Amino acid sequence: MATTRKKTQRKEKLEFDRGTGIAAFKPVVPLPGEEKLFEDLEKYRQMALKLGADEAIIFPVVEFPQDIRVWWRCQLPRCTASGANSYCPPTWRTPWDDAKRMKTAYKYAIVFKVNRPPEFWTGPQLWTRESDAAIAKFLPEQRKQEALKALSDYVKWQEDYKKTPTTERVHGTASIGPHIIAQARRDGHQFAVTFGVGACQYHRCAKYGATCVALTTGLCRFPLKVSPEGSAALYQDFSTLSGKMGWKTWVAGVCIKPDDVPEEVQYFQCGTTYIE
Amino acid sequence: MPRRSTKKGPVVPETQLGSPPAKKLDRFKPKVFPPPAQNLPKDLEKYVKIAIDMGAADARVVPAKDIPLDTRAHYMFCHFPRCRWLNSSVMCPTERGKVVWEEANEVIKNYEYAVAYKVLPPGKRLVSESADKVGKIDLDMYWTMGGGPPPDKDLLLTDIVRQRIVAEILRKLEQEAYYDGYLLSMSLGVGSCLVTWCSDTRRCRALEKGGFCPIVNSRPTGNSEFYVDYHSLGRMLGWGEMQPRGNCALITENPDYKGYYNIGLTLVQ
Repeated sequence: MATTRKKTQRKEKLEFDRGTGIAAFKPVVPLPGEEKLFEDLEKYRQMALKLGADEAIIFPVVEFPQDIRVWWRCQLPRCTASGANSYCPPTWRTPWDDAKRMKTAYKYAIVFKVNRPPEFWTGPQLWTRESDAAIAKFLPEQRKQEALKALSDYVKWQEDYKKTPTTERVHGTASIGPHIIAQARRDGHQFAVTFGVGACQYHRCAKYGATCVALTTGLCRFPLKVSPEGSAALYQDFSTLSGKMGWKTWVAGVCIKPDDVPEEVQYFQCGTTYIE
Repeated sequence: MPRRSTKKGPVVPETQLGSPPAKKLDRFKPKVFPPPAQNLPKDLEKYVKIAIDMGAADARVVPAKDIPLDTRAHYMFCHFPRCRWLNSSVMCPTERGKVVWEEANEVIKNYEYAVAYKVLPPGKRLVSESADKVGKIDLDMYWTMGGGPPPDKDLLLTDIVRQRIVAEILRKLEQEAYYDGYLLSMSLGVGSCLVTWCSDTRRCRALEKGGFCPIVNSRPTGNSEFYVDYHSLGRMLGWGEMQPRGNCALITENPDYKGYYNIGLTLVQ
């Protein structure tokens, strides 16, 4: 009888608990030795919110949707950053078996989202004109000049962005994850890892030109700062994951005009940080 | 009053380098992901109709589990004997890093339905009208390097136009499926993309060190990446025997063969 009660106590909680921000399958009573881990997880969740995330949730990694097809989604239809740097597909690819093994090695992750206006995810401007700069030599003269100007405008925008206060200058979800893992590793979670969002060529190296130096020389300008995109590294299916978090996902893309987006639609960017 | 046909006929697109102009983009309304399950039959029917409107001779919905996969499809059509276009473009299997058999199987088995369509070679009139869109063709070295004669330019133009028609249907169906909420929809390419899109350059731009593909519409081919046995698929759908050397084969390689056709495959959900 006592054993049964114990089992019931340990039974995983299935409901999504918005009060604590801890998602489904969190054990009601932390397992022995996990009390400290849960304190840390909560600290990192608060950290994500402080750094600019609109929602952050502690999520058991076992529930993460992995789908081999998402690696192909970067290329079919082809993203303009696909192959533009050393960490975007198809240049980077973790073998599928390794990705599955890596997922099973982790227990908890912080999943966070940053809300974005429709202009961020829809409309023809999504074809980043900066990415055209990488192929400028193949373009007619006028388009070549436009692309190079777009790249320099982007660099200027990045420089201005850095001058704003800390919480404001979070560029997408790309800066939240690295802050959290830096803290997590100091706290002793040595395998804490976060995955990049979008092309590191434009986040980090836009001011150095349009071509990723790692593709030409094999050496990266920002070691310890960049990591592969989430779908390339671990085949994370962010759309399904968002559904599990209770975040409604809307189809976005260049062929949707921002004016056509109804008010109830909330686009967001999603990031994950694996802690332990 | 007789009803006017809505059939648009084959569309031969121009090469689009980099981002396309905003005015050329289609317009869609945002939909929620995942789409309701009851939409799927209607949507599949819509994709079949689009394929036929865009010039396909026939189009069918195929359960993804019925798509025949065969390890030999990769080796026999790309390597044994060596394909003329092997390593000529970034989308060729050896350049991209071959997908292992188990992974390819897993990709296909994760889908439920696909739309397969048969595309016949274009007529002479369409080919001559499309010559301007294709532009300069500079691929002779792929024949003459070994001392062989250069290819028949008219036949090569027919090949390029044929592949562009298939590529345009692939793109359109994938786009429609994506904006209907099937975010993981995927079209498998046909033939070498160097022939389809970059016939004015001798070497793929993306193969330069540090370079990447400026063509948004290039796609990895089905039989080289996903081991799709197009011969069996064609037979299964009652489309008859496919040309020797499979879905990528060019008319220039075997001009006497009569039954050329291509199969386009879009995996929907």
